[in-house]
Amino acid sequence: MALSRRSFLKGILGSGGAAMVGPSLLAPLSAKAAEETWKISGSHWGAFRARIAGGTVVELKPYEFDQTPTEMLEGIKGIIYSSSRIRYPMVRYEWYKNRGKANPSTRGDNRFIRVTWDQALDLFYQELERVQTTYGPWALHAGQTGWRQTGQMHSCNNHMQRAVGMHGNYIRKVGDYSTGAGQTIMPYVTGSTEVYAQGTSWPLILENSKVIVLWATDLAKNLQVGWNCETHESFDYLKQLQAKVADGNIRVISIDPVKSKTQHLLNCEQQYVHPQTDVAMMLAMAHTLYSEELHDQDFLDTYTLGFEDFIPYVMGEGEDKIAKTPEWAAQICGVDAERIKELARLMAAERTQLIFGWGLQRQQHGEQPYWMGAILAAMLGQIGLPGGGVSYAHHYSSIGVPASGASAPGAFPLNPDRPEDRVHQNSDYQGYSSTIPVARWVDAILEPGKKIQYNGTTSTLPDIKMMVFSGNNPWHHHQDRNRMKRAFEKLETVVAIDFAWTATCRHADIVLPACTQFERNDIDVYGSYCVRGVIAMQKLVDPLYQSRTDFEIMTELCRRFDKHKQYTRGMDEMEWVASLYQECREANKDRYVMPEFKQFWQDGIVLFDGMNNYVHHAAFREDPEINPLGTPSGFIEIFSRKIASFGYDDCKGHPTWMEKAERSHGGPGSDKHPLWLQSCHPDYRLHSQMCESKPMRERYAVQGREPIYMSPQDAKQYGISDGDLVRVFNDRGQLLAGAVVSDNYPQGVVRIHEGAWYGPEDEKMGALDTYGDPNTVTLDLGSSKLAQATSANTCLVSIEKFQGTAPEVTAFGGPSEVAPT
Amino acid sequence: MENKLEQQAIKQAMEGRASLYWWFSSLLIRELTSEQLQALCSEQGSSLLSQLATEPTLRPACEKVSNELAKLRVMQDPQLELAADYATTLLGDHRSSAPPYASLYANDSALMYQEPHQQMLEALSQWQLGITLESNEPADHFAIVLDLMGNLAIKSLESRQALTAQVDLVNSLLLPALKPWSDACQRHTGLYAALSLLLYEFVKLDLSLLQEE
Repeated sequence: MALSRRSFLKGILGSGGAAMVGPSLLAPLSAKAAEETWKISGSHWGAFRARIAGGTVVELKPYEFDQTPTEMLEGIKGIIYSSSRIRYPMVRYEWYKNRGKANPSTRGDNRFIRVTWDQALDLFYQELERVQTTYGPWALHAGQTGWRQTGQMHSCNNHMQRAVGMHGNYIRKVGDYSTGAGQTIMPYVTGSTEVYAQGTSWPLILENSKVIVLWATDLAKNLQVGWNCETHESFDYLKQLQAKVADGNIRVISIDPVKSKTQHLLNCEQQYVHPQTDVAMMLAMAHTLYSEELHDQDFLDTYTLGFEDFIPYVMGEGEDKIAKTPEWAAQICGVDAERIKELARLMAAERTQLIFGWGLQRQQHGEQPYWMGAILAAMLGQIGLPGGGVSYAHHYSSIGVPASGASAPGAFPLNPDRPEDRVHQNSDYQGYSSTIPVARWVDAILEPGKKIQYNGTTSTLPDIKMMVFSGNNPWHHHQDRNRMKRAFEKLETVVAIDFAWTATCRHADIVLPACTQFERNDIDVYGSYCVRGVIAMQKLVDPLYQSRTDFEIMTELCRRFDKHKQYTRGMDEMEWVASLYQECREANKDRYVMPEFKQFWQDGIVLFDGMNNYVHHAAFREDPEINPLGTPSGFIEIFSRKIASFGYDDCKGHPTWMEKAERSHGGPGSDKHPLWLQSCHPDYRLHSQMCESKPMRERYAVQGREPIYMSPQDAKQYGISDGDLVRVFNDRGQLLAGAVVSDNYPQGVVRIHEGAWYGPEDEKMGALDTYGDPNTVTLDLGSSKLAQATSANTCLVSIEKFQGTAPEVTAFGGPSEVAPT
Repeated sequence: MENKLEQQAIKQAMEGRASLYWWFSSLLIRELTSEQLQALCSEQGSSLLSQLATEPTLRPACEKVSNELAKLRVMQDPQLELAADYATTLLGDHRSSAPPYASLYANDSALMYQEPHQQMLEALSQWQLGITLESNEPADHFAIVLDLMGNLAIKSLESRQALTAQVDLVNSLLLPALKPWSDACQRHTGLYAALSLLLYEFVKLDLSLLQEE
């Protein structure tokens, strides 16, 4: 009966129809079942063991050394098997058809087509060649790099820059989005970036400090992730600190507008301060210390320079004739004058460790709070003592954990081995700067040739025509999306290499699928600063779809200009991994016994048991003549003649209080957009990494959107309830987020974590971001003429309950959809 | 004699089914070659669709496919346009397009390489078949599932087990995923959206016939 209904099949696709059927995808095979195995690997989120069954990662367990693993490990499967993975090399359709004549305004709203790897790499090479020969090195920016996946061999920044560098010169960046202001100002003050320097060891802090001031730093949130494979040992010390707080042995004060995760963990005090007004509060504390003769004049005389040029400004004898009294500061920072005095007295009376976070310097004039923090510490006279002084990085990558003293494995080289390895030797930038401040590249695209002041020099912004991004997502980390849209319309060619369809990929012309770090063999240090060991990053599964390792991608690019042998030095992946291990083993031979590589790879990890305590600046304190700081004078510079000589109005010779372009709580712009938007590092991902992991997103998203945290008072005022969708807006843009109402937030302060993926409703300028990327509304302004760093935390917004039908979230999509022509 | 005729008819039907499954598989696995596109836009393609349209449940989808082919015929560069359509409809993320993997439609995890992938690995192993693609594709790519269905259709001429396996595969994996996938494809216009409908309708029909048989 059924057979009769099969009549429509009779002779179907017979002799003539065979042309319509392609080759078979299956062939006879005596397949054997894949064995179940356990492998070890590492990540920004820590080390783990993975169970592989049927060629698939089915389970992850934290590596047993890690006593405080982060729940983010559970998001890793969501990265590997995300439906946002780039599966094939893709080229923007409009660009593919018209290349240089392609309408750039269609970037970000256009269709893509799949190409073969050969086609994609040919196009990449042809574009490099075209830009180098038509323009020159000034037109190519391949220097924008960021938080790559972990692994010393496959570090994608190194691979991309070495390969592109073997073809020709290009524009590079200086600084980074995390610490741009801090790392520029601090070498003038204490002689190092401080933000990336080892800090006093936790055991010494726990033993000696009586007061710890956490100034805008959230250790418990940020220590979950590390630049390399994180050990999470810092949490052991936080637990000890928690006990000491409970026992009354150490008093911890969190100076922060928000009740932080760390404050809750330690159950410590909080001192609220109005956003962006910390410098005013610090100046007033300096006023108290000086007025009440609580400052350490001997320390200032012995170890610092320029106090006498600074203190008149504090006491009202400077240019502005305003005494920076606690009463003066109270009007600005919202902290009671008596409380300011009390805090200053407390710090002078006890061994006090000041610990600053990075968010403070990610604002306009972000150099000032860091400089002023060092001056406060100098006035207290405890710099160089265990448990005293100042730190700018105890929230970062195991800083403060006693270090093993071992050498870490090196990395695949960043630059060509020899300058003559470059195909194009042209280094004529035609008057443009070859290196520009990290956050000013959008300015360069929009205003090529513009001269800006930067750290004592004049930078001439280059006329960028082509950009190459690898493992780097500026459509998350740069400020002001709509301004970026205008800039991207001026670029001729954008190449993006990544494993997921980030917004950067969607705004690119050539998109190359790299595999994730879990699909390649590699090696990493276990604990960036403590160097607790060396970990094997064993490949869990083969590269998925058509993705390739960065090493393979860039080797094949270099083959197109006959530099592949120089690029690889004739070694394959495992030979590189083994050679990095052998070099590390050789460097450590007098201190630690490390097994042969084969044994190491089988074991998966080698641990170092050394625990060396360290006191920051102790050597300088012991003998400043023999151990001078790296400042021009060798001393702590309270007044910097060098900076004063630049003549900048926004970064003078000593720290000053300056009003911001936007400031809440009665500051400029707050009458129109009253709320301060804080866009600090997220709690559930690493910047934008792992935002695409749906299993993780489900833990924090509200109605599928990034949360906006706000106070009950603001929620009430704007008629918003917990769980509502909220439109966040200002004159720069608008976004949708999901309300989380919490007592942790004071009135006038809202938070959206940075790293939320950008997903505009459509391609139009000013379009509503459907997921909640805070940089849709942030201000793209240099911190000052000194650092020209990002000012993301200088941002005011308005909010309202979202009415109507919410648009679908587009952030985690592939190429945007448009109606076919 | 009658029995022989029936066997001949069964053979033709199974070969026809296999050819159709392989045809759909080739349409989904990669962009069309110029030869495939030419054949599809020629008399051969029209005749294939006309023949399929004799089955009432397939007629509406066949008409949609025919309409899309008619649009292609007047395009300046139909192969390239179709390649862009292919990428837009199938190669993006499941939010903006409709990736052809059963895992994405098996539950709301939005993750690849889920249970359908494992199920396909087991099926391939059972029938001693391996994937010949250079690309490391999950085994639950619809094109691979459809290729297996074609293989099983031929095998079922000699193996009752192969017939049962087809019913199981369609029931447990293919049909539940094809419906939401085809719905997702309809967010786009173009040939692939129309083909997804035709495929869904064909598999639905095929299952009912298999169950009757």
